[in-house]
Amino acid sequence: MIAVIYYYMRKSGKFHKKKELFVDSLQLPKDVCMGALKVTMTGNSEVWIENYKGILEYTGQTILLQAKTCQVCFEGSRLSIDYYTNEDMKISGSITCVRYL
Amino acid sequence: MIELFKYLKGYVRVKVWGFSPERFMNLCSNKNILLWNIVKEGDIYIMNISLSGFYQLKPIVRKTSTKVVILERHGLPFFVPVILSRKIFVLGLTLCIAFWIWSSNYVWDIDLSGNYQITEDVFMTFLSENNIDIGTKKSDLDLKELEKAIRQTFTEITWTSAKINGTKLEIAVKENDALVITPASNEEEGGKDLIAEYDGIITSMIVRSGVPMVSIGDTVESGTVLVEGRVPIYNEDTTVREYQYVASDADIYMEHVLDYEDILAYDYIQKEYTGREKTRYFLRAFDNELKMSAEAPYLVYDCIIKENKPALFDKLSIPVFWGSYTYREYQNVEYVYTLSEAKLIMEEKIKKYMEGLSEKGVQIIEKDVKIENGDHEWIVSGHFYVIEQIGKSVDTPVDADPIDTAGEEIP
Repeated sequence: MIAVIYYYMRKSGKFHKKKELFVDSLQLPKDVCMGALKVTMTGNSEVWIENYKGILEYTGQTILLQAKTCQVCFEGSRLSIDYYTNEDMKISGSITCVRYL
Repeated sequence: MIELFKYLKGYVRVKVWGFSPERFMNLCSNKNILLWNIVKEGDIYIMNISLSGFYQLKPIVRKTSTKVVILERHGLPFFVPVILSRKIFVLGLTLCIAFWIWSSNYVWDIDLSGNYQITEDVFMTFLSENNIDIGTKKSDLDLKELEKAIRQTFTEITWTSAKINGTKLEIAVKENDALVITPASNEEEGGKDLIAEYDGIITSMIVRSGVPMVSIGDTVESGTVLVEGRVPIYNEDTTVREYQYVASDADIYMEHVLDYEDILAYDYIQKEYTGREKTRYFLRAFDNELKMSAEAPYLVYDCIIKENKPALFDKLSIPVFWGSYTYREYQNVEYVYTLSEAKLIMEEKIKKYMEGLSEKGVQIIEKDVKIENGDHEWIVSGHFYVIEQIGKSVDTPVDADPIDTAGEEIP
């Protein structure tokens, strides 16, 4: 019975909303529970990103990353990746725009 | 820290190009291969990759149909083969470190502190007699035994501490600066009298043992017995039965005159430096000295010796010194004191003399000093009226047979 409800909710997209409500009400960190992208910027020169899936595109002007629920695009000039691991990455350069797609 | 680990494990800078370099990076991160400093130049990606990661690249390269070329090699795994090929250098380095470690097993310096009465020379002789010298192995030293030996040899040392700091043997001693009080031995045969050292008037007298022979206000001459160590014991009929001999003990103060005389020659010699100086540098290892020139450059000179020690390592002292002898030429020039100059010097001397007296516990009541013109000299003469504790201990003359005096009447 529960499995049926779970399957139904998941298919209808209601599961995601319920989970968000649940996480919200318990004040749990969303990056851990929901796999939300975590972007930390200092000024416009350095960005730390966690919870991404991978790089979709990398040029000197744009870096496009795939996250669990969305894509994020960093635009700027002289963009370089200081380090890139499974957990997190650091981008430095002159960032002019952060877009969520 | 991370940089150090990266260096130790080794890394390469590679350029990657081909069909899908982004996928190459994603696969690398999925396989936990660390990439850093990724830069895009045209169609080429340049990045750093750990050496262990680089060996896992083959399937990724095949999958993403990219090409990887090494640009630079960094880190210890690349450095070691290079350094090992330089055998002499490695040998020298190893020997150097080995020598360093070996030499740190020996004492290279002895530092003595806290000694005032015992000179350093005496102490060093004592140490070398105990087989402790520069170059002694540290493991041969028994510091506890050394401390004990120091205390036993030098009775005036009340406390010692010997410790090894690096290659330096540090010995700290504390000497007994309090007066050594020898307790009056009661077993001593015969008594002690106190006699006057000067002519003068007794101002105060407290007798603790012995028979007082003078009283306050008496004028006594030098050598007069003040307190006698022969104490009579009387019979009931007030005749003396016997004498008991004791060591006299008393506080006796006497007012007397101290004569003061001092002379100061008119002329005196003063060093005048001509300003000519010569410096000779030297290098000394143990007792061998290497000097630029052994001869002194001037006829009349004094010399300042500056000695340096290698201060490279504070705890590793090496018996090598360098420094300089600076010879300064001077001339002896004769000058004559004027009256005012002489007065100043004399007054200073008198002040010092008076300070010395008060340090000894002598109370100065009056002073009467004048400066006179002598034959080629200034003469200072005068008197000090002082109150001073007196009493010189001498043996009490013992009668041949005390019983003979048994019938003596009391004076």
